[in-house]
Amino acid sequence: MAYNILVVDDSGTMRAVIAKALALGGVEVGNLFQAANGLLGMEVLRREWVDLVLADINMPVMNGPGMVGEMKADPALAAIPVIIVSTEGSETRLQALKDQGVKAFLRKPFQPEELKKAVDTVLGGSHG
Amino acid sequence: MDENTRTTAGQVLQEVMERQAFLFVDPAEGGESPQAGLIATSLRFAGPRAGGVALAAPMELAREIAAGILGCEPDDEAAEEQAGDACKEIVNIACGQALTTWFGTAPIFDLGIPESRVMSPDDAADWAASPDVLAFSVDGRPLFMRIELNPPPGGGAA
Repeated sequence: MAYNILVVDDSGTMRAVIAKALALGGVEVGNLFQAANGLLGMEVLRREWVDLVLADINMPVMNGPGMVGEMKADPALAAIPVIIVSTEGSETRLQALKDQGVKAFLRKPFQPEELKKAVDTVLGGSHG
Repeated sequence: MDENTRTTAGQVLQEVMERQAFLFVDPAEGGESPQAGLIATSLRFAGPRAGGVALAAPMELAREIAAGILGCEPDDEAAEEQAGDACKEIVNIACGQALTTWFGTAPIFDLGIPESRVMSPDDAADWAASPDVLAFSVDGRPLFMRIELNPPPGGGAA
């Protein structure tokens, strides 16, 4: 089964890395949407069917936690799982994000296998 | 800034460059100093300690970093286009990793948005005068890392 995935990161380089890692990791992707910040990500989410969001934390305009908060406040989007892909190393902040509903974390730099494992964990491992 | 902070910062940069860009970073053999025209990429952070991390590299190394990250050749159009962005990502990752190495996983730090600019002669002189600039070599190309770690509130030194 292929999944529609939204990658939200202000770095075009990192969005390309994530896209490549998804392919190398063997994640079956239907549509891969990209956005450069949380606000643009929300526009995609309100327009397209998305199964999974991979989001950075530090972004201009609207950061990752802000986007997760907006998603959780919207009943149509609240159930979409989010994996945070970030340089964040603070357990305190990661716990706060978990409390906010984030399903998994992946710390940069990461290997494609680590991304695949995180996606499998969140989506149930029924693909690949 | 103490020697351990400088040493661990350099180790973090070496590891990030190797894991993310597949480039091997060696300490400079000596005598190198930042020159005008380098691409300087900086990131500020705030939290229990405030400061910043910055890198300076020639454009050709920035293209190699982008190529390593993207898995293409340095003369590919994508590497040219993403050179600045790739340096920002390396600074972002190195800063996040360095903060954890220095302070552990309990404190919360707020990282800013990385910024890049071409180093002016004044910038180069400022970098050259700083005691907190580390010099490296990547296949013979210079790479500089600058660390700023402000004293903790209430006094003390890094």
